[in-house]
Amino acid sequence: MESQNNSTEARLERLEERLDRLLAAQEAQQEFLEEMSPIAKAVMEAGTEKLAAAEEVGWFRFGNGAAEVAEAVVTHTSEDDLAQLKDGIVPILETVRQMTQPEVLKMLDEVAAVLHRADELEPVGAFGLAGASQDADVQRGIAVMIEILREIGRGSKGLKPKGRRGRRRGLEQRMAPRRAAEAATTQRAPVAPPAGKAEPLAGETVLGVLFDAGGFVEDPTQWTEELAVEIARCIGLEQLEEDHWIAIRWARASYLEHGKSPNIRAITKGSGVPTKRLYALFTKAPGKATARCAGIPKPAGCI
Amino acid sequence: MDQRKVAIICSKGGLDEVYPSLILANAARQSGIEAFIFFTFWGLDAITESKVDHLHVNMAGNASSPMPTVLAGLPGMENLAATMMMKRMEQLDLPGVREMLEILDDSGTQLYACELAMEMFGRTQEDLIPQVIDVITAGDFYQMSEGAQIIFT
Repeated sequence: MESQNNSTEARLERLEERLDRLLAAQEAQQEFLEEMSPIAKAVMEAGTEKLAAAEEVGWFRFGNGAAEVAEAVVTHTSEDDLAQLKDGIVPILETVRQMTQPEVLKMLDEVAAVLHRADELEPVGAFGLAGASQDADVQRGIAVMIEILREIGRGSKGLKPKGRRGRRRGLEQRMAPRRAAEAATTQRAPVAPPAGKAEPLAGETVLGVLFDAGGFVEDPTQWTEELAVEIARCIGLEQLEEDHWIAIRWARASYLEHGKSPNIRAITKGSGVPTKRLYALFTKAPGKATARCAGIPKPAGCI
Repeated sequence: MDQRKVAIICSKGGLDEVYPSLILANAARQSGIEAFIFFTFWGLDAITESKVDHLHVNMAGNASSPMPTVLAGLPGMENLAATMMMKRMEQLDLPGVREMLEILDDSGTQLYACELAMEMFGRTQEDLIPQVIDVITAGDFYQMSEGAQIIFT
């Protein structure tokens, strides 16, 4: 009698065990379903024709709920979306397949376990970092992270211009008033020439045109070609050649267009007179000399 | 009026270390000041044909760098910093090192290489960019910079 009782008990226990296992399996299935349904959604969007074919292949046998999802999705999806998703479906599935490989899932599970006990971990300083980097597993982890970063970087190359430019433009818009205010207040006073070394023409009046303390024409609108010849003579250029005129005229046009005197590099690039030639033509400080002759202010900048 | 003259010694080869020399020399020429540059030690990289286009910026140990030194030493960081700097310079329309040296040569700046450093690094004048006038010794440098203001970078 007792032995029978025992065996019944044992059987019951085994049954319970099995039930537990079944329940666990059921739960896992449920979880699986929940995880997969968003993916299923994406899959379904490829269109009803594709669905039939896909069913045959056996991709969707896991869910009768999926059909309902599909219906809801199809009624809410435009044809354009469908067309786009059709191209995306195979890579999506491939990614899902790779991400759900047992070893990958196991790794993710372990990473999640680490996150669960994150608050128990000791903070790591620079020495800890150096020490940890000796560990082979950490080294492999770094290698994996670098590889992942590389892929992300590579993939984001195509995306960059869109987001970046948009953000940049937003930033520029917001900065514009501040920049304008700054520009208005930070007009630098010109550095005075060393005492006893006055610039030629400084403060003088030639052909009725006044020159500033640096020897540049005070009012750029008062320029004439005769004035240019006169200025050139005063700074030691007896004869203005064709290339002189090309550079002078270009510099003046550039100033009138941009409101800023061009530097030597701009003059050489814009007028086509090479750097070497420019230095030969104006002998000394060609940027300044060109600006002087063109009746425009002294160029700023270092290049 | 005496002709003003500057002699610039460029002894380091980082992108950020070469530019000041080049810009100072160029600004001198633009102001009508005579200029010459003496490239020595790592500065030689700036006038070496195979290196001039690949100068780096070393962030490690640079107190002004926004990057922590621990990170700055990682492989690839120099490249990254150099690329970022080049991009910024492009935006400002600053010429690259090679172009800058060409401009300097055209403007009449004289470029010289240090003989001792050349021997140390096993380089000959054929390895250098064509704008370099000559390979000279430190003694020659002093002779040539007579009356010049000397700037060491």
